Amino acid sequence: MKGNRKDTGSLKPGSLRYVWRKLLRNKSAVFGLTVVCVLIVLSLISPLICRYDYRSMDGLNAYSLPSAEHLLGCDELGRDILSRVLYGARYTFIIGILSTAIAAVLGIAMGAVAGYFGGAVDSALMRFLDIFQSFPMLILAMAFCAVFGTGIDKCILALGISNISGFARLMRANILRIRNMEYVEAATSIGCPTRKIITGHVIPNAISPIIVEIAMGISRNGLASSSLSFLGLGVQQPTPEWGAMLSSARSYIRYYPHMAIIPGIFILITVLSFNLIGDAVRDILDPTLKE
Amino acid sequence: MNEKKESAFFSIRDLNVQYKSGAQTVYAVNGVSFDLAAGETLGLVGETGAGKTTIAKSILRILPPHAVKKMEGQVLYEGEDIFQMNDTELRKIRGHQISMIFQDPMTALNPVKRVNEQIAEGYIQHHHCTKAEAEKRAEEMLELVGISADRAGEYPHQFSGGMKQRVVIAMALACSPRLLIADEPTTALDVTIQAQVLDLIKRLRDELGTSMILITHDLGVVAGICDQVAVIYAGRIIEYGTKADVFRHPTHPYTIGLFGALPDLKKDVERLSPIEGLPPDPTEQIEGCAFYPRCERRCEKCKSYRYEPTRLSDTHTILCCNPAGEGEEK
Repeated sequence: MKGNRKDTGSLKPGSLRYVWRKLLRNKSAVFGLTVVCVLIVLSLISPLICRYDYRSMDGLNAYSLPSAEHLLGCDELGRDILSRVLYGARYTFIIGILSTAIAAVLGIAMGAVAGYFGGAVDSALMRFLDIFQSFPMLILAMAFCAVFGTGIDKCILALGISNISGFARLMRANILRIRNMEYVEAATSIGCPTRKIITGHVIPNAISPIIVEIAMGISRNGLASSSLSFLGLGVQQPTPEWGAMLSSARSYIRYYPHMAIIPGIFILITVLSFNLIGDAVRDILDPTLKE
Repeated sequence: MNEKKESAFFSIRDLNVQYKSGAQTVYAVNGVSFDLAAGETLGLVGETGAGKTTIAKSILRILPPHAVKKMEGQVLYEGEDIFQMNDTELRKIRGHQISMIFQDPMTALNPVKRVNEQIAEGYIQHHHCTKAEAEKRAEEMLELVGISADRAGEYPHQFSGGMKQRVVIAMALACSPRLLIADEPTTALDVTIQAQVLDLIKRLRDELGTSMILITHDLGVVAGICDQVAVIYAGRIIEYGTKADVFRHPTHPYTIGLFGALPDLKKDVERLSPIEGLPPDPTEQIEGCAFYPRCERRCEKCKSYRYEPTRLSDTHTILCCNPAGEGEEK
């Protein structure tokens, strides 16, 4: 009965190992994980495996359709779309992950402080975050981009800040729920100091919904970064970010639709993969959905 | 209630606790005092909402601070007032000198921590030892409460309700406290497990020589374990005495009512006689006796009753201005 049993029965629901094992049994999650991993690896090694540099222009092949020469065709400047799409994957991932990280760290800290201490601190923090929540996320990110300027770092910052309030609300609600649990009183009653109660009892119990929110946040922010680039904010040409590629292809969509369709498909697959992972994690962590 | 004992091991003096509930004030405990000698067991008996748990939690000062409006009085442990202590002093008392068994074992254990870690947590805190030593202690404690030590590394959800309550007991006893507060330790358990857990608590109390405050609404439990009994109604101790006083000569109409509502195997009664009505709304401050609307012996005096205690004997006190006289019980 000790913890060395191979199935999930002996693991506590909610522990990372439990989630991981359950995840590997979920077909759609495995699909999502595989796609994400393959894309990351391909993106990293793309300068080595691709026949063309993502920057090199070939005027003769401009607008060319997919062929043996250029597997996914070329864009309006004759740059190989396959090289660009694979190289560009890194931007979507970097922006998605880093902006979610910024949002999660700040949001969790603010939510935890607001929830645990309550009172005036809570009101001040949450009313401040309400300002952010009163705008649609993309509009807010656009406003930040307009202020900060364009570029990858600014795009990450803009998306990160616009997402803080979601994390803060989630964390605050969880802390409020757990703060009044009897085991927190029990820990107090045996003499645990406040610091240990927060790190040992409150945070571990509040963190699992946050994990789901992070998985979903990465796909949302990856998509949002493409949207920003498409709108001309965020990442700029000639950087092969997928949204930026879509944006420049839209002038030629009637005659050379492949230039828009290919980055579009990659955006679709990536967002879908992250959503599948997030969905699976949520199902695993939700005890009411257990069979 | 026993002023003659000057330096009792543990005593509460005039405890008042009020909660805030929206704009309203909840008068949970209204002037409770009692003494407890070392090694003795006091039973706090009363209906749901009478203020029993509030008394218990205010002893350790673990009531949620945002809900408490007022907490006054003295809680004296070996002459030291717990209400006057700072956090460091308080932490040395909590768990080490006084600890608590919680009502509901389903919520009193942290679901994401192994049980041995939870039992060891307080021990590390008070004995400044290594984690390995504390976990060894946790395994000893588990054996003591009748759980095999090889289950120490499991999580609370892998235990049944009765075993979880044993873990909660092990947690409370890990540092061998001198006073144990058991807050309805058997309420969440089914009857067969109740008996086991009570026997366990009783055995451990006797082995470790712990004083105990047992909170319950079950008079049978009190009869089995306690030396002193305090009957609580609407935040006041309305009858206090030794077990013999209260069980043989219940005098307050409420206590008599409680016994009347209890099934008795020896008597052939068609129907049990419940106490009519409901406990008073704790958000209202009542003029006169709080039990007045439900009392069978109510009279004009009760409306202006100021809770002057009536001493029936050295050990037996009630708060009632029109108690049943000798010879005319019920």
